[in-house]
Amino acid sequence: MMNRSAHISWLLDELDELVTAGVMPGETADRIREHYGTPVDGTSVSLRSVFFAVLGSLLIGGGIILLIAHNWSEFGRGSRTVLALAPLILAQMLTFWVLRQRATQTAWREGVGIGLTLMLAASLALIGQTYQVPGDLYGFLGTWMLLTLPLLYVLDSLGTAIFYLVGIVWWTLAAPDHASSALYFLFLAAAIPYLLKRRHALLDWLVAIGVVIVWIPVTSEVAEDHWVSSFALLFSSMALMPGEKQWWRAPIRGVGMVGLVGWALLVTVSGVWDDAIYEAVPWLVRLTALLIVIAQVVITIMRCRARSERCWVDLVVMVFSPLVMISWLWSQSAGLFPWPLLFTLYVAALGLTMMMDGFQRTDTTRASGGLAILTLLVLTRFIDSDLSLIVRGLAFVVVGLGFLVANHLLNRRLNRRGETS
Amino acid sequence: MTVRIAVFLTVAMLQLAVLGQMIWRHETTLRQGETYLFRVDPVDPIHLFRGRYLDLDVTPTTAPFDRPFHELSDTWVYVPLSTDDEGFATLGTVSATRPSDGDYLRARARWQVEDEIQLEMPFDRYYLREDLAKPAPGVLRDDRHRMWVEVKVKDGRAVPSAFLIDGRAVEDVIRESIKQPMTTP
Repeated sequence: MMNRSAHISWLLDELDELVTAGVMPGETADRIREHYGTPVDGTSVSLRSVFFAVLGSLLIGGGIILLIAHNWSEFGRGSRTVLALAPLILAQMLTFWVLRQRATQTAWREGVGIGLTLMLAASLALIGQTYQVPGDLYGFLGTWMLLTLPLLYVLDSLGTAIFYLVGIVWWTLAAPDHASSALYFLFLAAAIPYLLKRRHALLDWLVAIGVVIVWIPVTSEVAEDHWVSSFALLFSSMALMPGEKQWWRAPIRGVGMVGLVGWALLVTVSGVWDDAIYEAVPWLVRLTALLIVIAQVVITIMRCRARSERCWVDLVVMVFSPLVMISWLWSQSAGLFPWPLLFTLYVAALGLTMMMDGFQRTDTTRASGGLAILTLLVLTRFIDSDLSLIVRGLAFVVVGLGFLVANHLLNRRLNRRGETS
Repeated sequence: MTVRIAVFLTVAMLQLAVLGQMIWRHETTLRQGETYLFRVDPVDPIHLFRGRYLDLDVTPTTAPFDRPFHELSDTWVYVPLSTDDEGFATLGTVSATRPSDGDYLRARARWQVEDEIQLEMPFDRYYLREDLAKPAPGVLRDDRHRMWVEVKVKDGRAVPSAFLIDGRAVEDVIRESIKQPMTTP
């Protein structure tokens, strides 16, 4: 016997046909859909069937690609051309059927989404093979990703989105020159409406990691000697992205925050500043950087005015890229200021702000985050420095004691709160 | 839902149209193109999606250009084609504009050494069937043979149509070598 959810999904599947046949008006169908919502056909059941659908289509797709790689030269050009289009047309027909009959079932959509994406690659590869097309990975991946992009919106398949987000990074790395690699952001922008609608952590992770990877080729042409500033701008922008979740639960902000701390620690090393040599930056790049900084300031101020929990930490984060950029430009002309010391103070301020903020809100994770930043600072600064073993030893003892005290205070606060509530 | 299906049908048509256009472009070059021969020195790598192929190290890949490199406004350049006494292709002076008559190649200019431009040729591979590609290196390394690739050229596009060893198709030579070791040509 079918369970209730299976009945519901059957009913939802039938709606389109009932409307087409004129049995019920579209409005009624919409109201029925609204009433039942997305079919809750048991997460465990759907998860298992999604898993098998994904695995199945990956295996079939991979197998067809291997069959193609055999290179059936005895078939002649005519039949190979037909063969090249056959897997794609079959996958398209299956997708059409799924959209008509099984559109509400995730497993089907994932299966055909991945299948069609892979068959596009297979068809492109087979045409390339038949006509001895040069090994232009950039062109191949670009065409593949452009033709895959609309499928994100039509099929709403996570697998297709994963292929797309990884594919555009791969495409960017294969770009013949750095100017073309900046097109990554166009490809990414084209997927943003989908990403916002879907809101899946895995996709956010792929975007966060992808942006950091492509940042090197994208910026190396326009600001090669300003790499310290350009990464500071990237990480702080990522850390300031909207969302009230805590940053370690939001991948883009998480990667930004971790990157920012790493970067701030990096610029406490004096050797980095020796690299600062003058290089003219095109005005368009300067303007873009300036606009990004202004946007960061505006967003942070608005957030503080709205009394967001993120206010204090964000204020410190917001200061980072202007501070780096001004220091970098200034060090090129003057170079006498103790920049490492300035950024040691900055990291300390960031760690302390996060820790105090955590204390105030009795938020252990935030407080520990602040403590972790302070510890990292002490570790890197004191291992790196010329100070004697005695001074370093004492510093570690002091930080260790600080940890114990902080932990004790935090626990007491938590207990007190537990008693009062 | 019907909107979604309509969008999908449009996307599917677009996918087929892009692939169809690729096929048509190469097919017309193969059918209507002029034949040119390029000497080659191939090696044998493998492609993740497309299988085994011969990497075509063709000559010539440089063409004369006696002005500064930056005068080429784009990296895409046009190179007139002609034939030498032995029937092999030679490259004329590089130009930034499409020649009005005669055959030419459209290629990417890489760098300049004195009065020569290094080109990235618009063909660089010749696919072989899996079972023929494996014994291929043995045949190809035999330096007693002369090897060349036959290329069809039309409107700047170039598509390899055959790979020849001493005037015979590479597939036939490899098949023969599987049956019996190579004899002196």
